[in-house]
Amino acid sequence: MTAIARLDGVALRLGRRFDLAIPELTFGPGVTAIVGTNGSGKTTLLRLVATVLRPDIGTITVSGNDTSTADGLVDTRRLLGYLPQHDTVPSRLTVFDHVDLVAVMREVAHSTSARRRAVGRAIRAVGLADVATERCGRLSGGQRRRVAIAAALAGDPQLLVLDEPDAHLDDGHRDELGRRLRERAVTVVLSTHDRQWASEVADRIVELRDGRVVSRR
Amino acid sequence: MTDLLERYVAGDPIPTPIRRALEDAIAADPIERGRATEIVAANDGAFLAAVLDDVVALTMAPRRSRLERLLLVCRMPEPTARLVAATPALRWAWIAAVGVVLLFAAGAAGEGWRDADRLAVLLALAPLVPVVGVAAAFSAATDPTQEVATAAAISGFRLLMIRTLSVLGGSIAVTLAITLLSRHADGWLRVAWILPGLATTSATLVLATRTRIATAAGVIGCAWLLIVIAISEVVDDAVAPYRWPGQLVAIVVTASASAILVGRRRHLDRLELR
Repeated sequence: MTAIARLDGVALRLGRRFDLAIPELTFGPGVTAIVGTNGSGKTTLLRLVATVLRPDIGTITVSGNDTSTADGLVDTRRLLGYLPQHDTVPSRLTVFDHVDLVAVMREVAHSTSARRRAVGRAIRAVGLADVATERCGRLSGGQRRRVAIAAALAGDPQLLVLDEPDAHLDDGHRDELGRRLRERAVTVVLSTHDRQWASEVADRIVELRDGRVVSRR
Repeated sequence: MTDLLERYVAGDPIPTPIRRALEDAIAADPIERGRATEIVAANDGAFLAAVLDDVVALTMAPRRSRLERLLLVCRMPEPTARLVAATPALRWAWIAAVGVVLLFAAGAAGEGWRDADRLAVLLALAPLVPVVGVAAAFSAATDPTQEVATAAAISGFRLLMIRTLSVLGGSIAVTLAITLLSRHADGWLRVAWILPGLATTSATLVLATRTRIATAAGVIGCAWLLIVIAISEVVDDAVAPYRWPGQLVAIVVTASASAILVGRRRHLDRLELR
């Protein structure tokens, strides 16, 4: 089963200069890429879908759960794997410990062994099994990005919200990531600056400009 | 051992202690790991894939830290122990708290201070240590995982309580050790900051349901210092705020704040970035 995220009449003002306004937008099964220039509202839109920001007006529902209600919010977060834009990987922890810590917070699996198995699978999926016991501070920027992606993938969430997952990745790993995302029969919403990669990976492309949707393909 | 491995891979029931010992051996020994991989490779099926995931997860998982092992020995639930031991912000929160303790301990040890004034400074600043620690535990500057934690399914109230109690426990232990070792503190007044410390921390958490936690910590910290200075000046007794009427007030504040926190737990479940 996959999640369907829907935004209705959503508006959000951040500061005096920026506001986002989305009359209607639905993210269904498959990969949807959000593209646009710097400051067009990609990250803000993904943060709304990932429930870390609440809209000033409008509603966001994920698989029928209204995220403005307490129960709907928790149910939505149980379906969600989220990769923020910035580096979220602490240097002190090992790769396994970081992904496991996020899995604990995401309440992945009901037992320790099942959770650690899911963590192991996610680390293998991003090709980091050989550095699983290394501290994250010793990894390259691309490897750290893949650690953060593994933390989002652990437990096979139904809705993946990935803010620039291709940042810092070389061509090989970016292609591999795109292939793995397409293989997953879930709803994936990602942002990228690379329109070529977006067209290769995504089933749909949404373009933002100044906080407004200007095209959907 | 190979026979056991084959039974393990085949999914035969193995007593839990033996299975755990076997898994430990596989995790620790590359030769056993190689045998396990060979047996798995020679077979097929979803169960074997799951077994391989188990084995790989075991080989990937580093040894738990001393703190985490200690917490597990103390019967803390495994996910909670992991949250306490691995959360990066808590490390910085403890460092911040200890830093503040050392700072005021050094300040109060300066020459030219009367003993009563030294004790008053110690008692005034000690309740701020857990407040600083709690604020640091929820700062984006110290916790790169903050945004991920915000979007996670875990209850915001539970996360808040786990982090707060961790910081509170650590900072009270350190402050207590320094206070008890201090030659300037006298009698029960050595520990007279503990209840005020609980009061300032719980008040900070209540205010944090309305504003950012750093702002709440700043407001409560300033309010606390203003109150103790004002009382000391009015009654002309530097340690007056810490005698029994003050302790009673601290208990009332802590109890009231705790009740409000429990009442607002649904609000705290909704962690957001702003």
